[in-house]
Amino acid sequence: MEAILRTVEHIAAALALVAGAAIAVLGALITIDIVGRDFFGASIQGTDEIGGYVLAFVGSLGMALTLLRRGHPRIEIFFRFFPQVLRDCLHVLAQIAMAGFATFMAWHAWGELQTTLRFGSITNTPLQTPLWVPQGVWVIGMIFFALTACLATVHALVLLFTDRAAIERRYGAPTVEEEVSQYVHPGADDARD
Amino acid sequence: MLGIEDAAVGFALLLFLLFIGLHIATALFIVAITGAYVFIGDAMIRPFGTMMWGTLNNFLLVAIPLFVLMGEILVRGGVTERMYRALADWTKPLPGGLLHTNIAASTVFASISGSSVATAATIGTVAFPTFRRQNYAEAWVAGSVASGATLGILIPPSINLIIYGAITNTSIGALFTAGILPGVILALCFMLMIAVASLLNPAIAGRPEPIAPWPERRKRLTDLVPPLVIFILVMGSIYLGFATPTEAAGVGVMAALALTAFYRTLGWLMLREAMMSAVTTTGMTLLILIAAFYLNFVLGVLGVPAQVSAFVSTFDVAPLTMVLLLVVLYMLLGCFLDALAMMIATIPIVLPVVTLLGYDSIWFGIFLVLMCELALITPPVGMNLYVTQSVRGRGNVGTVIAGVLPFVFCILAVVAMIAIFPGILI
Amino acid sequence: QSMRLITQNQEQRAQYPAEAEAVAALAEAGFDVSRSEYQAVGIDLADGLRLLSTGAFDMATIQVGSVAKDDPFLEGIDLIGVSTNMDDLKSAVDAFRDAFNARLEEKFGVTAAAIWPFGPQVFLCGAEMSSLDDLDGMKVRSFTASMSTLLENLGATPVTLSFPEVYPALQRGVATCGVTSPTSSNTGKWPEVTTHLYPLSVSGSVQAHMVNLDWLNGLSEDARAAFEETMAAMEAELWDVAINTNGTAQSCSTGGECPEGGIYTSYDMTLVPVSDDDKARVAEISVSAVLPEWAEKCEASYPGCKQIWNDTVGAARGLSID
Ligand code: NA
Ligand code: NA
Repeated sequence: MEAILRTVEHIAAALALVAGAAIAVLGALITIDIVGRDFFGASIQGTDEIGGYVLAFVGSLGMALTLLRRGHPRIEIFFRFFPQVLRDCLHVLAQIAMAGFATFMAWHAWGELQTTLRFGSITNTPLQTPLWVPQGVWVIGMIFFALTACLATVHALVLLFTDRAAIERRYGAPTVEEEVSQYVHPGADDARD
Repeated sequence: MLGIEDAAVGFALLLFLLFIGLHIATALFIVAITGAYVFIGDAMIRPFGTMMWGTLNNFLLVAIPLFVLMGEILVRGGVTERMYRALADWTKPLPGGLLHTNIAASTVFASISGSSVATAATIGTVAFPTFRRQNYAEAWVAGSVASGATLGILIPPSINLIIYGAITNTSIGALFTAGILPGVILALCFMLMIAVASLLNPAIAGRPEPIAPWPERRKRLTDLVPPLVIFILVMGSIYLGFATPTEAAGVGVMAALALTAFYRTLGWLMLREAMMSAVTTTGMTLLILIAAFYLNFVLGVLGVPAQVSAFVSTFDVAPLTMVLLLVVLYMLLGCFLDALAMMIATIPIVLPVVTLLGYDSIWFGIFLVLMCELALITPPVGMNLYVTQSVRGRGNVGTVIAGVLPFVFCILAVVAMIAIFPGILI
Repeated sequence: QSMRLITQNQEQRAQYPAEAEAVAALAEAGFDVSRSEYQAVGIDLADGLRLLSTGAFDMATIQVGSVAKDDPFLEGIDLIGVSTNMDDLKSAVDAFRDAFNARLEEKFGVTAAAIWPFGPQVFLCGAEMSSLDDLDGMKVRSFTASMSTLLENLGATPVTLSFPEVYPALQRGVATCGVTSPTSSNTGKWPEVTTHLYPLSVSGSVQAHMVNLDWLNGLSEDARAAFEETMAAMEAELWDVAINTNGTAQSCSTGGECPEGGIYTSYDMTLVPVSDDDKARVAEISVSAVLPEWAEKCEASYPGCKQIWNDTVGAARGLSID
């Protein structure tokens, strides 16, 4: 179980890196487009459309990694008043609800792709993109997210019966320290001044 | 058709789901789908896939990953530390000394980052070690960091304003432009508050410090060039018509890469972390937005916004009274809700009411962001409080809460200002 | 009988009263109408047909150009440069109506109860212009593939922008010109950010009130008769709006006579006289580039499409795609 989860996290991180690179490439495309349009009167058509596809790609791929890193926000402030057993159950409940939501989304994303294929949709824009291409990538991202969420839920349920002490650490909201740590860079305090 | 009572039940359900710790996105989704199913049936569930694609494939929202990546590259490129020191030289002589640096640095940092958590964490990390040596009152140091950081979502770029613009079909460029003046006024108000307090009670500011000699101060000013270049490039290209906000964000990413390359802080590891952070922030935001757009859709089809504004209009109160009521409502919600969740969940219902009062959607966007700023620094749920406390690393969060109190009044003063003189937002 | 309607006609628009009247008439006839607006519920106009097809809504106003992504054939009703005045457009629409509905029924389970135009799609520019030649090198907002084809053939740079960004884009020069109807541009305050209006029409921006067939077939005979009668009356009125009020709106935008208390605001844009050369040029680009490109796309998803077009719109307008 642990091993599978670790593998999934590696895959999620790798996919996220590809998505991150896509953001940077989009930034470059947009810059070229603006310079071309404003100074040379030539435009790469449809960077807005490509941008939309990149967002769908980044968003759907980012959801899984965010889930594994407990980055989807929850409000846990009232948990301090609950007994530990209730807290653990609520952590698991949140995972179950998330898995349900993720599966619902993947199912409907799949349905949308089916509709696109049935209609043979091609965007009526200068790019004339066959819509199944970007939607196909998106559906893969949503299915990956759903699988990740289900796997995490099964894991949380298993922990509930085998190792309850681990639940809060693995499926509670991240501590503020964890949130902050990503902005603290020892040594960034410049080396060359 | 459903009545105002049903809408209230729905809102209560949302609060309940949030309080038992469901993820914000899931809670919004459950409320939306329950409403759709109970009041209309299966027909309202079928378009979910179409709506989801529409949310994800939205060019306005593309600005989010781009701006986050831009900010992350700059922060990880060490821009903050240099900027902080450069500003410290100039703010030290003011009454309140280094406390002003926190506000000034937050203001400048806000112009390259769209998130207040990033601002609080980054400024706090640099600020606290500096203050430890000087014997400042901890509450004021913490308060100025936590409150100054709220400027991150008011001064453009702002993730909250991008989301608001996408939900309400309001021009993001216009929202950004409208955010600058109240942002600067709020920053000045924070500084005025510090100056007055430290004149009344000099103890809060610790002992005066030597001021760096002129040439050195001038030389360090060059450390303010990167944020300045970014801000001018981003806002300038939006304002002068070279680019839409999303395009400006793309240019910002390239500029951030170029600047960090110039300062020789651009590296593979740092870039990798910046990209991962942009991707997870986007995933987190879009998951909430998918649920939020669907909730907005269901509420709209059920006619809830119209019902609520009809209900409100029966009271026949003066617009300013109504704004006051809204402020109280948002302050209450803001105590217990995450700022972003509060904003997203209330837009569809409150915007028609505000329009009825004669305010436009740009005004409401700025108003909402000011309410989010309050929510970020009011206990018990107030992200900036905890981030600041965590960076502070000693004592308890009570000190931070005490510290932000004076600054809460500044935010309320700016809210009053835009309510009475809505014209200043244009 | 309940009816969920999703519409793009907001209160300040010229088309609003006609639709509101129809909704009132339907309510009178016993329909329980609940009305939503695309903009308010966050639905993209381009997804209208999908929502109608799944039965999420019973009736929807559909912008034919923007749903053409799901079927290019539909755009054949109003291709750039084919019908440049409302009379020509009416003859094209009437010729195409049966083929249009047959395709909608077969592919989407939907039919058009009323087909009508927003009105002549004309140029509004924020820079000096006296003819189409001046568009050379300018940035012009485009929203469909065939519009981009026309613009590129005129030497302009098509800039694709989402609707809420158009006004600020014109204001700040991200785009110098935009193409839309005089009514929409006046109520959308475009004259505040543009200076020249060139009333050369390139199309009519055809819209349709479409209904889900399952819903329509579920109506009682009486209800259906009442429904069809109401929609026919609304269609006639919307054509009137397109023909008559666009003149008023244009007059208002260009400093001419403007009725007090109406929905239009007075502006003083420069009205640029249309030259016959430019009309000929649009027609030429239409025949040489727009029609063949469309036919190729259309044939790929609907074999026989070109022939159908030639027999209907083509015959009505004296055009033929080889
Ligand atoms: Na900002
Ligand atoms: Na709060």
